[in-house]
Amino acid sequence: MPRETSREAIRRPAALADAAYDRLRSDLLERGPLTAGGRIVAGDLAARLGMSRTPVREALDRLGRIGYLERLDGGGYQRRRYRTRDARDLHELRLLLEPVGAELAAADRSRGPGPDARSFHADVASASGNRVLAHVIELLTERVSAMRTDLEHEGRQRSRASVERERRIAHAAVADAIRRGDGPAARRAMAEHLTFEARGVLTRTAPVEPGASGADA
Amino acid sequence: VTRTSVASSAYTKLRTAIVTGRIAPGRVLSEGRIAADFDVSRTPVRQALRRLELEGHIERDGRGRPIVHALTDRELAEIFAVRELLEGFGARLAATRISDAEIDQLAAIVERDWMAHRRGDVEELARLNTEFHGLIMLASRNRALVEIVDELQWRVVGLSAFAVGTKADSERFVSEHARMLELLREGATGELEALVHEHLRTAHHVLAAGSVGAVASGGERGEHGRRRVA
Repeated sequence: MPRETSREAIRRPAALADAAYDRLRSDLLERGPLTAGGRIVAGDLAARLGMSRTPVREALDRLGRIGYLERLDGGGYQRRRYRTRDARDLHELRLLLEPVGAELAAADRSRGPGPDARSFHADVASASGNRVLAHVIELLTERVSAMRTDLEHEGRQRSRASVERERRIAHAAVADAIRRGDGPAARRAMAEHLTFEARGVLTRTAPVEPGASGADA
Repeated sequence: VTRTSVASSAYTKLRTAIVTGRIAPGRVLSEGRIAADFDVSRTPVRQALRRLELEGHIERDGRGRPIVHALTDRELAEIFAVRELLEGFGARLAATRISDAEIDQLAAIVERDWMAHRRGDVEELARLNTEFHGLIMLASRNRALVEIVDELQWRVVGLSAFAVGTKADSERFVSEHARMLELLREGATGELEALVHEHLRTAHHVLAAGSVGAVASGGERGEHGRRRVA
């Protein structure tokens, strides 16, 4: 989808909304002070940020749709809490889509990603050449970030350095296969990588809490 | 009524008008006129336009005015490739996870499907199509899948294909719904997934054949439904 189509005409309001979004997103990721107090209301938040309400409201709406926040019945939002099931759901979807993206990327090596990029998964997805697929994968990886804010504070984490090292090796395997133009190998390497990462996330997911929000069928 | 809900209802109304073809591709949108039509102030309309622009439903013309985006063949192919993956997978999960109550709901939809088909009521067919596929996605019990499919709203593009297809197309779509119901009852995962892929390939074909612009004229119905935008 052409998400970048000529924003010039609306640059100012869009830029404000983006700034509010970036600020809130990083605050949520760091479990920062803005969101520590539970209920999040656009008006209060706008005052604290020194911004007008409209961009803040838009940012909250966007964070809700991406999965960082959930709407409260009485108005306002709260940080969304994730459970093991959510991690499973997300993993099922990533395992469906990302290996396909890697295989497509291998069909056109010119677009291949570097393994060190922070945005590795988004890069592979966009190298697939299917912009809709790339967009969906981006939404999914964003949601993984949202979920990790819950999970990584739950203890039992491997050391950060060892996680990073394993990740770099796995990314290199995917990137190599893409560079060689070996679609099936790229697909396999991505699936293995995701399965490995999910094992970490699934065991670190917060246990179901009584009254935890987001109950579903 | 909160301001957020005013904005989000303006968004929903405007998006519906676009995807059902009440507003044709290429049409210039006037903020003031939409605000008057919806009986809201300009701010929620401006927000709705911006969100629709981010989603690719709206773009800007040479003078920076918002216009409805006409899907290209490439975009259509990309959308349908991803829908096949997501919805085929969702159906496969649903085949093992669906409840009896949901099966009954789907059966009721298929009945109404046939009635609407006989009456040639394309708007009802389109509504039922959304309901039918939405229910299967819910039955997948994968919350992320439901939310992602919902967020993207492409199904709407597909259902317009349905609305603009010929009577023979709609007969085929409805029979396929009936067959999907049977396969869900039997828990036939593989066959169901294959049928969903086939169903979507047909929808893609109908859309592509009718020219992409035809999607937008879903609102104007004729004997054969398929209309081109002037």
